Amino acid sequence: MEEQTMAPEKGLMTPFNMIASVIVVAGIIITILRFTKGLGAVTNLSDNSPWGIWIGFDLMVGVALAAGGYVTSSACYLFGMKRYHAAVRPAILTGFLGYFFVVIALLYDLGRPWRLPYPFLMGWGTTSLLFEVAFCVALYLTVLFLEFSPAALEWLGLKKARNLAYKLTILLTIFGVVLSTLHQSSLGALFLAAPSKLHPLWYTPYLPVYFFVSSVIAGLSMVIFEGSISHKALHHRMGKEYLDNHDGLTLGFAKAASMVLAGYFTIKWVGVAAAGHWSLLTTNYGLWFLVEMFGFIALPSVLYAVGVREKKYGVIKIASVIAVLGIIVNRLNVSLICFNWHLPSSERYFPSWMEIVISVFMVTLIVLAFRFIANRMPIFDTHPDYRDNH
Amino acid sequence: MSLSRRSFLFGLGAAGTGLAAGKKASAATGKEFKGYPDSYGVLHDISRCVGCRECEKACNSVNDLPAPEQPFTDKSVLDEKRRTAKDTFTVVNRFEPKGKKPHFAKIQCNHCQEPACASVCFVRAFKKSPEGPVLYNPDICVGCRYCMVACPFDVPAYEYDKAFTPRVRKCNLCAPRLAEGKLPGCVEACPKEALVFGKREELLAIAKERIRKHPNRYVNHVYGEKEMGGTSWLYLSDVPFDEVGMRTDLVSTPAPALTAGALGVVPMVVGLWPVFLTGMYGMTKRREKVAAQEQKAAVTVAVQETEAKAAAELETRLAKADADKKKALEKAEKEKEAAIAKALEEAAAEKAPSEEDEATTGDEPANGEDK
Amino acid sequence: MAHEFYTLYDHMLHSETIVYMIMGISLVAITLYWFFITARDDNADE
Repeated sequence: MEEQTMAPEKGLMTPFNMIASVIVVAGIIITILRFTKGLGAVTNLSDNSPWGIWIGFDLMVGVALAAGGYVTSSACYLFGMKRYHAAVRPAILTGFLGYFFVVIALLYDLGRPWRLPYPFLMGWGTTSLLFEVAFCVALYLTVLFLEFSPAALEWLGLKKARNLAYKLTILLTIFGVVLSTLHQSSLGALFLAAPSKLHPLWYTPYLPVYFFVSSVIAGLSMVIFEGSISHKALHHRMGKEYLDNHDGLTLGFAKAASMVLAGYFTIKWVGVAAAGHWSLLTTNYGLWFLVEMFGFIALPSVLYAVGVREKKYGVIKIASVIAVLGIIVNRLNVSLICFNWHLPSSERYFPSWMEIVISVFMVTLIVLAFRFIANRMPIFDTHPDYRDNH
Repeated sequence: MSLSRRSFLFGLGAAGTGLAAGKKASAATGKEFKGYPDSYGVLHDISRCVGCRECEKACNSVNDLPAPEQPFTDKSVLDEKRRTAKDTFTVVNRFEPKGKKPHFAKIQCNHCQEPACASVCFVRAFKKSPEGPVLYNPDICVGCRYCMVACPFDVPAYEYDKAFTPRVRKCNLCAPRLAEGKLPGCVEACPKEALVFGKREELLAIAKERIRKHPNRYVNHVYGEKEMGGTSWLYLSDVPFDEVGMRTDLVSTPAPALTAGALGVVPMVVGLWPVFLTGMYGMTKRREKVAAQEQKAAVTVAVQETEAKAAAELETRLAKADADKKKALEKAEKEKEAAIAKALEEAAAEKAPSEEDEATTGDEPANGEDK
Repeated sequence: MAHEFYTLYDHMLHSETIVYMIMGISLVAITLYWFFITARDDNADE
């Protein structure tokens, strides 16, 4: 386990690499189209539907699924759960790449992306929750980068810089939790501005609370999910500490996820009760709400619970997949599916194939970057010069 | 001045009713905000609109907008419901309420008292001017389109077809014309006095007076008085508003108040989370330190005990060894003495039998030999 | 201050800008304060 190896010699033409290449090429072509011909040439966005999947999926889902970074680092460094230490670096890397590509995706969606710094330079729109989101995401991306940098600096052999970056860990972790709480919840709060457009079962003053709590669920589940994939694809890079603690981590996070899902389930019913929307549950949208509640929140909670009790890791993995899908469903519901619900279906939005390709392109780039970095830098194992980095 | 016919010299009509009380916005602070005094608006009397589209034509001309595919005289355009678009700041739509003649209603930016677009814009590209129009600044707009999401009337449009200079597009209440003392283009063009320009408070008075005078004609509601905290564009109708395409399910909460609660939590989190998390970290560190100390103490005690035990054992062993040694010596001594005594005995015993032998040999007669 | 602000928007723009500045300053300040408090801690067992 002491020797770090590169990826085993499988050759470059793996099925994954071939599919990824096609996606990357298509992505580059559509990127050029987008920036030379404008949004209208590439997307199905309209005056009634100004936000599409680049916001609903790339941004909203992307930010939620990148939450593993703050969840894992706070569990380990602030709440003292040392046994999760080996999982911190992979979680931070997922977080950093997730947020980085959220910003890239945002550049695709903005009408004038080169003006992205304007809210900080030209006029603080402090009445807007989007201002708050922008500020927090910018700061948090910096925090994640700094939290990730020790791994890169170790790889580059820059000891002094690495030690300096490492000393900042606790400060960055605390700051990271503060920022994450704020922007995860504020992404939900954005929709408070549109009560007439979001279906009443999803429009509630509790939206920011729901988004924050579900980001914790997303973080815990993504760490389990990403861990199980990395276990197969990047096993050769995994050090003793990571491997020894892998099962313990899975059980611990599954236990936590089961509980948080249960709490989330409860508070969502509180929202329905507080607004008195029981009669809406029998409508089509009401049915869909019940599917989200029982299929994507209650079900994974129970699967996690059973998996933990019986120590069945396969069940836990399935639970994590369903929980992650549940987060995706929820974010798409709030931003796209249950938004503009009152419009006739002819005026409703559906993404163009080019929008879908760009979204897939973003995810592919994250995976490729993750693989590249994990294959070279000490993410799943410790660098020989820094064995005692506790 | 063409202002006189449609503007705010109302005389008897308005004087009697007094100022209308618009919905006042209030913040979480509990303060109330009355809006800019003397700000202007337009009253649209839907019952008077005949769908001639002269207002659309005037708007197109005044704003130098490109000519539409079908001319403004083409009434077949009214067969479909339209909304505002990037080069169409206002549209007239036709409605067929059950059992009644066709009705026409004009829509455009309502120039809200507390505009949602301004509230959600993160770069301050929208501003409610004191004169009334809500103005858009394309020079700082980033194109995030949150304003389009937030507008409850679905007014702002976007130039999706432009790659480098896309703008949000909407009516600006002809602010430049107002500055020159002119009427908005649509108001000036309307042949049926379905549009009246004036101070918002006076328009509200006029509207209520019309309702009062013709209670069987008008729906008893001035649309825009309270919706979303009040709008500068007010409407009267002789049929229910939802039958002429207007949303009647809007809240009266002004847009900034919808998100003020969530915004208010932000500084609470920033102020308190670091304290709480540092506390958690401190407790964790303390717990670890105490655990380490206890462990260290336990190890020390264990070591001491082991050492003491070993020393005691050593002592006992040494004492035992001493005692054993003594015993051994004594035993050896005794054995030595016993051995000496035995040896002496044996020596004495050896001697005696030989003397006896000699004595015994003398008694027997020899063969004649004398010794 | 109501006489200065005619709209809720104007009030919120003004007050929230100040709030953001308070947040920024307080984060830096409380960090430095923490270092002040713990500067002479016995961290022998770090």
